[in-house]
Amino acid sequence: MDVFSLNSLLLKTGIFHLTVGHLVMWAIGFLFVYLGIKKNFEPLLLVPIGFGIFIVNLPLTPLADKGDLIWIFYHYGLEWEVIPPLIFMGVGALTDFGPLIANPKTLLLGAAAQFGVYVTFFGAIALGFTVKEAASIGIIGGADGPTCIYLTAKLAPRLLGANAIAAYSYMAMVPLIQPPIMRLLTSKKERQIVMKQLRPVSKLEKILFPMIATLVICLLVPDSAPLMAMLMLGNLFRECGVVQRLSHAAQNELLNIVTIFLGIAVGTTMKAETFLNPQPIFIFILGLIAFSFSTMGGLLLAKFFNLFLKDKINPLIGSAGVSAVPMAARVTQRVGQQENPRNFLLMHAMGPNVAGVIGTATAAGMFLAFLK
Amino acid sequence: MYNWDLAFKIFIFGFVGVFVCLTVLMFSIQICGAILKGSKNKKS
Repeated sequence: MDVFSLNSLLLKTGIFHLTVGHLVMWAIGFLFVYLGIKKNFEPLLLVPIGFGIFIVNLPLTPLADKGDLIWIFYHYGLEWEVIPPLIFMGVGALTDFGPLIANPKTLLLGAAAQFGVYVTFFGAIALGFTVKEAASIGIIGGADGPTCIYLTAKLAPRLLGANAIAAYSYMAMVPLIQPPIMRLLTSKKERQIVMKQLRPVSKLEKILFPMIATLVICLLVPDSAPLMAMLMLGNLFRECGVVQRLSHAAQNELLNIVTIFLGIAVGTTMKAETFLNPQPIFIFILGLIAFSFSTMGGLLLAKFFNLFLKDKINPLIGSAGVSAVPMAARVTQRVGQQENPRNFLLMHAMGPNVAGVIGTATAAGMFLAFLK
Repeated sequence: MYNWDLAFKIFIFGFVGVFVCLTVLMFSIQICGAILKGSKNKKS
């Protein structure tokens, strides 16, 4: 065949290979870009993810097949587990664990908020997903994007796009999802509880915390080490006070760079031929269930604590046990102030909020220990 | 068919395991805090 004939040239263009599926995926990609730009929903991720969806659904483009540019981002970034732990390092460098150190029992609220992870795990199995896929869907309830991506890339890579989108979408929708559940499960009197001011935390305690947390969690759940160790390394940079340049780099340049690679690599997992089936819809529904049950778990444990504690805690802070930092803590503050404008719950809610990050990384490590 | 036996085991060991880990961490922080407080009092 003459390669320069009009027919063969036309067949080498993408236009003749377009399918309805591609067009649907373009619409989804544009929707994400729109939500990121216009509605400010997690724009740092939705913009590169949306654009990634768009370009991977352009026929014949050498981008996402083995050896192509974005395949390299995906392969070395996600399959080699590089990107999520690096994001965790940045998160650690950005996080003040002071409220958690001042009130360590909030760690248990972070643990209770993993309830949704396990409820959804069962739900996903009932809907016909395999045990590994169910674990990767359940972890959406932890509301921690990097952990969700880390676990999904290891256990169910084919669900990576849908799971990542569900996790980040629900994280962006915390202010819509959580308040009705918070009001449903608490009385007005409970929401008005004013908590005792947190004690000041010394610099030495803040420096020791990342060491102790790494030691305890990584000894008990070695599979959570890539996430936990990087989270705590970033936090040690922040708290030790002698490596400001490293702390700054982890919080800014490094975090921003890996976010670009993460977004585009996740977006390019969403090819029309693999994404357009009923499963992503199930994943979105299950993600919502996971998120709701996680919120309930934290709230109910806080209420349970109040049966025994002399200094009552405001149960609203339990809902911040989902690890959408700091959005969930801000929602707690807002709902609390609607009942009592002079109640400041933000710092109290930051304890369970950062505990949720540790809890979700631990839950992911548990799943890996059982299933990898 | 559904692997409920494995799922149930993962639920029990996983969820309880997360609680155990974070409880151990909670006590470790409290013990460390108490030691630091004790040594501070001793110095002063």
